[in-house]
Amino acid sequence: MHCMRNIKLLLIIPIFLFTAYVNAGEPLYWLTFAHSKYINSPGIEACYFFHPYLGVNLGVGVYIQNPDQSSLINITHDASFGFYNANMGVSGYLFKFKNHSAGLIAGFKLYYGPDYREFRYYEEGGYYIYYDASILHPDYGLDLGIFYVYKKFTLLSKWDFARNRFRIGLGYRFNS
Amino acid sequence: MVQFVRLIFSLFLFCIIILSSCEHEDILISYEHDLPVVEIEIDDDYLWSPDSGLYVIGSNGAFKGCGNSFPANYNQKWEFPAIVRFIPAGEDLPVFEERVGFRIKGNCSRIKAMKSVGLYWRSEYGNSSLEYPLFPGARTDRFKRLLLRNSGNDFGLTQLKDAAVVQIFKNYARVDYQAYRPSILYLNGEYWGIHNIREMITPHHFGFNYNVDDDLVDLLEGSPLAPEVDDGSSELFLLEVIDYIKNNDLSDTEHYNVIINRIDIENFIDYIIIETYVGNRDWPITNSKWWRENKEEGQFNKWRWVAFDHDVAFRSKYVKNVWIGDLYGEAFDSEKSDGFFIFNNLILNEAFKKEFLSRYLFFIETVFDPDRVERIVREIKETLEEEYPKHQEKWHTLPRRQWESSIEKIISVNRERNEIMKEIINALYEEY
Repeated sequence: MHCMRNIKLLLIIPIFLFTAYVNAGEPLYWLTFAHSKYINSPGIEACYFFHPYLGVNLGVGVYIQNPDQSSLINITHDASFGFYNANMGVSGYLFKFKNHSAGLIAGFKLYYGPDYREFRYYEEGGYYIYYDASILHPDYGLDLGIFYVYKKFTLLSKWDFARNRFRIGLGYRFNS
Repeated sequence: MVQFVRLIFSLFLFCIIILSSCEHEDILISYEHDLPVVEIEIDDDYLWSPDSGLYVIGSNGAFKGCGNSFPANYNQKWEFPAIVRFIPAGEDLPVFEERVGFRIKGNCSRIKAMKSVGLYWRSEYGNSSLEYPLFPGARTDRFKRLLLRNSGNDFGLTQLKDAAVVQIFKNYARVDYQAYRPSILYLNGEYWGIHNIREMITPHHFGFNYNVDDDLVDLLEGSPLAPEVDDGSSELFLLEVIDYIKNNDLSDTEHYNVIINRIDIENFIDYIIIETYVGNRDWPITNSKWWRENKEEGQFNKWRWVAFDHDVAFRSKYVKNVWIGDLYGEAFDSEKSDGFFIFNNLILNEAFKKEFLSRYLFFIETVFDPDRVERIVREIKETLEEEYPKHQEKWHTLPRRQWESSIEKIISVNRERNEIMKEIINALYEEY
């Protein structure tokens, strides 16, 4: 486990070294969305480039849940809406070519919200039983993503190791 | 071209990181257990059906409060037949196989993913009780009710807190408690994680442990001013203890002597010391039970308290909260003040106060000695250490490092608590 964590860190470092060679970008904003079992999670994410080669990014997401109680073992977070996750990290462009540019985002992500997971198959009912794996304790881990910018419009795609979840974003680039 | 190479290389690194996200590779899965195994066989419908499944929220539930706004099947007092087997650690064959009743147990901890299970021996299933030395060194080898406990509100955290508190005080304190033995549960052949085998607090428990007539046991719980009756009656408790205290000044030795003939004062002193020292925030009123055998001249005719459910003990947040009723002058939750009614009246008596403070100092210096507590907690942790990765994988509880540090927190909080309480109790003792 510790070995894998170190490998991840070793892989992150060269990404940042790489981004240090590319040009500065403008502020980027995305509306993001993620979906997992019983949960829809809208959010916002922003990158601010404080240095010609490097920026910081911040993001926050909420959850909207609608679980099917008949097939659930438990619900830890009772509310249908609430804080879900937040992330912060650094970002940088990898390349710029005419109207196209792309870059990387890497940082830390924290979850505090429901986490429905498949538990077992209920043969008589012919469906899966799920459980909420969150224990009123934050889950955290690395958050990595790639963004693509075309003129003023930008797309974001991220993966986090906190809960191994995928998140996409659609956004806009502002002139600095 | 250079930019293109950079892009490809970065994407390559990114993909490697994503592919390395498979945490399962990091966990060594072992099918041998260092702990005894409890196997339970039960009809799947009794666990998972929306109508009658005990392990799901389902569609036929009952309300229980506890912060959940929905009814749940697991709150129902349903009992279904099951078969239970017990396989000691290192052995392949069960030492007993019994037909029992299966229930979900616990108060608010039912909302946890892994639930506490109650096993009920009844003649309608097979044997009316179990005879097996389940808890080495315990007073009894006979049981009619057993708990496979999920560690209550401590589920997903240390998985041992209440058990640790009991192991710390049990050889010194004159209180009743639930014996403990950690085990691994397999439910219908599926690994179900670490469950703590505990005695259930029922009249049978006192019958087997103290050889009293369980039909004569009065078992009460909740507020002493308005107790709920688990078994027997609360009438005489309210009349002989509560009303007497309300109408008489216990600073007067004559009245005090009447009360100590009705409650086991040594038991009561140790009970209050344990609960207040560990900072049990989920007490009193909640998790308060007391009992007696309603038999004139019987050895257990006086009311005795049971120390149980210390799942929220030793929290650093409350390490400075003294909470010894009116003795130290620090207000407890106003809604819980009724729980201190007996204690707050007893401390009006100088003899009680002296005995209480002197005994408290003994507990601080001996029972809760930081090195002793550290040794006991580490011993329990060692028994669970090999098993924890599988349990963690099953229920997504704290990662191992966090689990270890949450256990270390018990040790460090006790060190701090010991110093704080030593200073306060010493000061009160000298004042006296």
